[in-house]
Amino acid sequence: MARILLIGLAGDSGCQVAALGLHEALVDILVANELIYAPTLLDTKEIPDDIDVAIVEGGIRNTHEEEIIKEIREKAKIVIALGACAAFGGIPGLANLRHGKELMNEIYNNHRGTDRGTIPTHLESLPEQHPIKHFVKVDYIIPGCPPEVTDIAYTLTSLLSGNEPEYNRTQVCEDCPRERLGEYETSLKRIHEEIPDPDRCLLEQGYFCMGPATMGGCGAPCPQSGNTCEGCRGSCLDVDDQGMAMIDAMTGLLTQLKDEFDLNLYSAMLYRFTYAESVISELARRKK
Amino acid sequence: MSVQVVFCTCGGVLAEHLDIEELKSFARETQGVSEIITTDAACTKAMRDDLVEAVSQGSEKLVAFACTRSVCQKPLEAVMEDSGLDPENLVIVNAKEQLAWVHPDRGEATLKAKMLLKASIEKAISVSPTETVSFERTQAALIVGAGIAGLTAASQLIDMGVKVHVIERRPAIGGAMPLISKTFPEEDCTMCLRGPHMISMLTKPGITYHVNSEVKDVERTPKGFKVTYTKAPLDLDLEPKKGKGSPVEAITVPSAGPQEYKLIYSSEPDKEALEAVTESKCGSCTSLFPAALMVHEEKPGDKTIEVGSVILATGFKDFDPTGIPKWGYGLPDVITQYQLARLMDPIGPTGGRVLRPSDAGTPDRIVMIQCVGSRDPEYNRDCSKYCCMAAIKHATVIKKFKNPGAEITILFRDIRASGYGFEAMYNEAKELGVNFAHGDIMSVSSHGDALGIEYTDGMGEPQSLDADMVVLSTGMEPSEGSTELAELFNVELADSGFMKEVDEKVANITTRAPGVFIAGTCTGPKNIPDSIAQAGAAAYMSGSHLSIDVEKKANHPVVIEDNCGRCGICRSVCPYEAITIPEDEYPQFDAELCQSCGLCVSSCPTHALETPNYGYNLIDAQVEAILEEKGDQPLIMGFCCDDCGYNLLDTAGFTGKTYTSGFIPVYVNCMSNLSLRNVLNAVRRGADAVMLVGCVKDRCHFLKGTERSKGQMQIIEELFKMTGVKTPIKILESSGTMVTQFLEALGELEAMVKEA
Repeated sequence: MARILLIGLAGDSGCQVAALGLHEALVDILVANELIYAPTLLDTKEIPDDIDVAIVEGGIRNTHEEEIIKEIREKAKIVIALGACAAFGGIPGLANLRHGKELMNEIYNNHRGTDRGTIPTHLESLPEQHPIKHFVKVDYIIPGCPPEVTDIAYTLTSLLSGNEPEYNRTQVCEDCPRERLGEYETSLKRIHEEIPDPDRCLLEQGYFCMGPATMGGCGAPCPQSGNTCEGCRGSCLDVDDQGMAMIDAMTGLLTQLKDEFDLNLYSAMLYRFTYAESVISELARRKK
Repeated sequence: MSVQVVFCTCGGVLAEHLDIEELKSFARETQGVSEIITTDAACTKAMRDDLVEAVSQGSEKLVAFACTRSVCQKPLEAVMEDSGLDPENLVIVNAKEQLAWVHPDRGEATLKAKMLLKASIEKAISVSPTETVSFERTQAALIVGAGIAGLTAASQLIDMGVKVHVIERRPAIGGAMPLISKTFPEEDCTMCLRGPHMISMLTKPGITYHVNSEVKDVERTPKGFKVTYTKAPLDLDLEPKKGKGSPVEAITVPSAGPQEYKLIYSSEPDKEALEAVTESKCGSCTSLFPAALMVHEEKPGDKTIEVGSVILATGFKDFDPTGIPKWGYGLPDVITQYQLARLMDPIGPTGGRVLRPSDAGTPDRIVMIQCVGSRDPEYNRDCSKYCCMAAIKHATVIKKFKNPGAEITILFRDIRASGYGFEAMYNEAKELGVNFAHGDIMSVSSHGDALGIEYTDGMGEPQSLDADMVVLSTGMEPSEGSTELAELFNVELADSGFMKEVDEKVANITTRAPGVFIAGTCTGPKNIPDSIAQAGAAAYMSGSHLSIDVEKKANHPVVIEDNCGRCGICRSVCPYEAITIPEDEYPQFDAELCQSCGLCVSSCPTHALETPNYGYNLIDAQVEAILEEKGDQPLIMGFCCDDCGYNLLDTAGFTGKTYTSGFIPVYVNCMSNLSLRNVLNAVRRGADAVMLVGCVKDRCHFLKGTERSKGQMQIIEELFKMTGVKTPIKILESSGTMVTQFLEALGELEAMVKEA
C-alpha cells in the first residue's frame, strides 16, 4: 500500500482535477493505495512523512512554494511533476519575459478589478516563475495543460506496480491525421485569422502550429478539432528548448520567415508553456 | 574508441610558437588518446616510411596536429592508406596558418591549441567512414540555342553517341548564320555550306528539338540537371501553302515599301506580319528556314528533361543604334550591315537587289560606318571582331556582283583583318576601288535627297561626305535573356554582359558551374569559324563530362526512429529533394541526391536525424570540449563553413595577419547544418560571443546555408533583445579571401564583448 501525495503549487488546480478524472482507475488506485495528502479532497495541514509518490501540480513563484517542494522532496521516494506548470513553468512562465516588480505593479495597481495600490507582502515572491525541477530532482513528468488522464493513469499504475513507465519521445504530428503534402504556404498566420482546410496539415497551410516541436502522446486532439497545437506538452525528449527547435524548423522551411516573423506576436506561441525552462530564459536569468 | 595523435613539428617551426611538449602531455592525458607520435614533416617523402610504420601500430583514428589541410591532408591520407587505415578517420588541427602564425603570444596560442586538440579528438572519436557509391551521369546533353554553335555541338555529341536535347527560343533552328547569304573570307553561300547540314540535323536520330521554348528552371542533381522549359504556343501557320513551304520571314509595312526588315516569330504575333508570311510568294524558305520540317507536335506548356551536361550557345543580338543621333539610324536610308545582308540575299526581301529602302532606287554612293556600338566606352568597350570583315565582304560583293559602279567608302577607326584569308580580302576590296578612310563620326543627317555624313579624319580635321545609303556596322551584344539564363545555370557574366569562362586563356569553354559549358557568340563577339571551333570543343568537354562516373560518399543523415514522428519537415527543407517518406515509414534518403548539407538535421525539431561526420551532437561535443579549457580570456566561438571559412582563416595566416586567440573555430560542413540549439548551447556553456562564418550569399555550396543562418540570426538577435541576453552574435558572409572584413567583424565582436 503506497502512500500518495497530491498537491498544487503555483497552478490552478486543473491538473489535480484531471488526476481525479481517472474515474474507475482512481477507484482501483485508491483501493490499493493510500491518499495521505490532497487539499482538493482531504483536510490535511502538514506535509506527511514517508511519501511513496508525490504528485505535484504547479510551478514555483514564491519562497513558500520553494520551501514546500523542498520538504516534499525530502519526504518522498518519487516526485512526479504533473502538468505544464510543474514540469516546465507553464503559462505563468511567460511572465518571466517581464520584470517581477513591474508585473506586481501592473496587476495590483493598474489592473481593472484589483484592490488598487495594495501590493501583497505576506508572501515573498521570487523574481521569476520556475518549474519544480529548478529546485528539486524530478523523477517523472506528466506533461500537458491539463495532462491526459490516460497518461496519469498509466504513470501511476506502472509505478505502483513497480514498472518503469515509458514515454513517447516524438512529436504531436505522429498522431495527427491531417494530410502532409510537403508544400508550405510562405506567409504565417494564427488560427483565428482564416478558416483552415479541414484535412490538410495546419502548418503547411501557414497556421502557426507547434505540433512538430511538441512531445506527442496526446493523440493530437487540438489539430483534430481544428485548432493549432499550442505546445502544452513541452519539447520532445531529446530537445532542450522547444521554441528554438521550432525556429530551427521554421527557418529551414521558409527562408522568408525572417521578414514575416514578428517575435512580439509569436514568442508567446513558441514558448507558451516552456519559457521558464528554456535555454534562452536561463541565459536571460544569468544576465540579471 | 581510441585515437592516436600525430604531432608534426614542421621542421621545428611550430615549437617556436607553441609549447609542443606541454601539448603532448595534454594530449596524453586527454581521454580517448592511445598513442602520441612525433614527426618532423608529415608532408615529406623522407619522413613517410617512419610515419607509416608508427601509425600502423596504433589505433584506427588519427588526429594530426600539423598545418593547413591544403598541404598536409593528401600526404596524411596516403600515410593512412599505407598503414591500412581509412583516410576518413583523419582529423587535422591546423596549428600553423590558423594558430602559430596568427597568435604571437606563445601562452595564448598554446591554450588555443589545447582547445582545438581536444575538440579534434572528440571529433575523431565520433567520425565513422562512410561507403562510397558511384553512379553514371544522365547520358544526355542539353544545348540551349540552335544557332551554328549549338547545332555544331549537337552534331558532334550525337556522333559521340550522346542523346541531345536542343532548346531554341525561336520557332526554327539555324540562328543568325542562314540569314546572311554570303560569308567571309570566300563569299561562300551560307545555305550551301550549312543548309544540307541543318536538314540532316533535323532528321538525325537521338536529337530532340524543343523550339519556341525557353528555359524556366534549373535544378542540379548529382547526375546532372533537371531542366524545366516553357514551350510557348506557336501562332504561326506552318502548314505548307501550295507546296511553297512555310516562310518565317516577311517584309512588313507593305504600303511604305521595303523600309523595315523583320523576322516573324510567334512571340510577337502581328496580324499583318502573319498575313504577309502566309501570302508570301517566297518558296525557298523550306531550306532557308526549315521551320516547316520542325517537329511542332510538342504541346505548349512546361516540361522537364534530365540531362548530364549543358552547353549554352545562345548567340548575340545586334547593337541597336536607335535613338543615338550621331549615327542617324531611323532615317529611311540608314540601315545596318545585317539588313544589308538581307537585301543581298537572293531569297531575301528584295530578291537579292541592293535597293534604297526609301524609294527602291539603286544607291550609287554607299558609306559604311564601323564600330557602331563597339570600342566605345559609352556603349560596349570591346571590339566586336567580325564587323570589319563583314563590311569588307559586303563592299566586295556589291562591287563584284551587284553594282560595280557604286562608290563605297568605309569609315573606320582601325581595320582588323587578322584571320585566315582576311588580309587578302581586304586587299582585294582596295583593288576593287573601295575607299577606306579613317573617320570618327560626328553626325549623319538628311541632305536633300541624300544623306550627309560629318566626321573627323585621321588628322582630326572635320570632313563631310554625301551618300545615297549609309550602312552601320553594328557590334554584338549578348542576346536577350542571356543574363537570366546564366543565373539559372549559375554561370558568371563578364562586365560586358557576355557569359564568363573560368579563364579566358586556358579554360575558355568551362564555366564556374560544373557540367555547364559555353560556346559561340554568347561568350563574346566572334566570327563563324571561331564559333564552330569553340562549339566542337564544348561538345568534347560536355561528352567527356558525361563519361566520368560520379563518385560520392553515402554520407546522408541517419534517422533515429524513436525520435521521429514523421512531421515531414526534413522532406520539405531538403534543397535536393533527396528525402521521401513512404506511407507509415520513416524518412528515406536518396544517397545519390543527398549532398549532406545537414539542413534537415538542423531543422528537425525532435532531433531525429544525425549526419555521420558533422552532426548536431558532434558540434555540441566539440563546443563543450573547447569550453572546458576556457581560461580568463573572452572566448568567441566561431562556427565556420568548412569551405570558405577554412580558406578565410588560412588566408589570414598566409597573409601574416594576427587576431585574438579567443576566436576558436568549429568547422561545420555548411551553415545549413548549424542549429540555433547548437549556438545557444555554446552560449550556455560559456562562450562570450558567437561568430558565424558562412559563404557569401548565392555562393553557398549547399544552396541554402547562408540565407537560412541569416534568418536564424535575425530571430535570435531579436529574442536576445527581448529577453535581455547581451551575448553578441554576428554572422559574416565571407569568401576565402575577405580577411579584412573578417578582422573588422572580429574586432567589433571583441568590443561588444567588453561592453557586455
